[in-house]
Amino acid sequence: MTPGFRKGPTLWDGVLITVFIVLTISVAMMMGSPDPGSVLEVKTLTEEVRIPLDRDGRYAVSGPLGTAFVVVEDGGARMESAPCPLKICETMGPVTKSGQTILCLPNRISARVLGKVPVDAVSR
Amino acid sequence: MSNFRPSRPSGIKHCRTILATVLIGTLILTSVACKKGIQPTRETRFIMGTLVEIVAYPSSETTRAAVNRAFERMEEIEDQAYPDRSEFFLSLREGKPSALPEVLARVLDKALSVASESEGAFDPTLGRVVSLWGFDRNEPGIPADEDLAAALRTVGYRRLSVDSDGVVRPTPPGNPLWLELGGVAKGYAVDVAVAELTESGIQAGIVNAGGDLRSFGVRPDRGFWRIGIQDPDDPQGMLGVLEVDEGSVATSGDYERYFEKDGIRFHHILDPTSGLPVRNGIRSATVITRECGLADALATAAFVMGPEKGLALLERLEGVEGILVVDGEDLLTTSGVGGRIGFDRR
Repeated sequence: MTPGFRKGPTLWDGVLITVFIVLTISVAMMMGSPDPGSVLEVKTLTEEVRIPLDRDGRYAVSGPLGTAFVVVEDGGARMESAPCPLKICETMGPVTKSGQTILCLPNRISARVLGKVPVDAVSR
Repeated sequence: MSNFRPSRPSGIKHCRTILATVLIGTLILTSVACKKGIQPTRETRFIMGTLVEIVAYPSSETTRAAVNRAFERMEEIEDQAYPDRSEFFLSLREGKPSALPEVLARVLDKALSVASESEGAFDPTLGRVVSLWGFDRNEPGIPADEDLAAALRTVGYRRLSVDSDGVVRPTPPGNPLWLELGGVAKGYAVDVAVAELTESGIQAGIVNAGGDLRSFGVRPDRGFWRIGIQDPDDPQGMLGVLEVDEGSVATSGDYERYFEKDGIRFHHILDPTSGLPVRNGIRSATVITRECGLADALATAAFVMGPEKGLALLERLEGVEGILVVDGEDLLTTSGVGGRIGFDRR
């Protein structure tokens, strides 16, 4: 019998495999970290707040024209009511994906779903 | 007996393997971390009646200071470019000559240039008509016929002259002149902001004023910029994505500002000949060119001119490309758009 050569896995093989697994998971977590598109960033002239999109509720947001109400439900957000004249912002939702934005220019309120978006800007 | 023995993987050899693995892994992780590390400064501000966003690379205190200066430059133009803030416009409305503020010289020059190229489809003297519709005050409504007719008599980009000393004179003298420079000023302010950023040494970025935008420099990690074109039928949807290096993209669409009455949509892009919202089948006009002020005005001009004439205008101008979305038809593009854009429909 040839001495000294073991065919089965050694302790070092185990260490090697463990290192590979840890590295693979780490890289996967860093590269494929879930898109943080679950937060709504609401900005006014004076405030900036972030609302998790899984926190259902009706949120009052104050602008120069008065109070608007943003509703968060079913993983998305929409402008339920706004004191602006044209109400275009009320037709812009619901927003659910990263980069989607509700904008009320007269009342100076923007609400954008945060996260990595496939484009740098949108021409509209 | 031979001294030769089959070599058994030694601890040292295993250590080398592990070390190599760790090094390779570290390299991968570092490259990923570095890639994620190139983060921009991203700031927004309400200027010129819209939300302006500046994205500038890399994120640093220096960049933030430059971004703030760029916003201030835009606000300086805002202070001069709108009638409710500037005596320049009010004097002209009374038919009096008025000294052109220096900051508006190039704005007016571009506006008159596009007015001439488009044979008045874009007209910076449409201010009285715009005011009657009330879109500028967010109080829109349908004007009375007689008011509209009177307002149209003040329209005409040849009804003014600019002296060499920078004085704008209504023609004939005493004729009320309602200048409306918003159609160029917003894009021009984007150009000024980009100039401020580049002069401050910022390597790359994008200035986006409510969808009229300009990119500059090489975008880190990708090398080019991806600009979405809004779908006129879906406020949160994109028609396609345009890949650009450096340049401006501006869009005029019937979905930007409008109101509805008796089921009819009245939007804010007005025909200088009739004073009414344009209805020629175009839903949106996107223009791609170097300067945002030019793109801004040309997008309006192409929208007003309609599918055939609008496309012909954009095709004729050097360094200008365009995309027209026409109701019920395929997209119309100039010949140079080519492979720079991926469309969801075509």
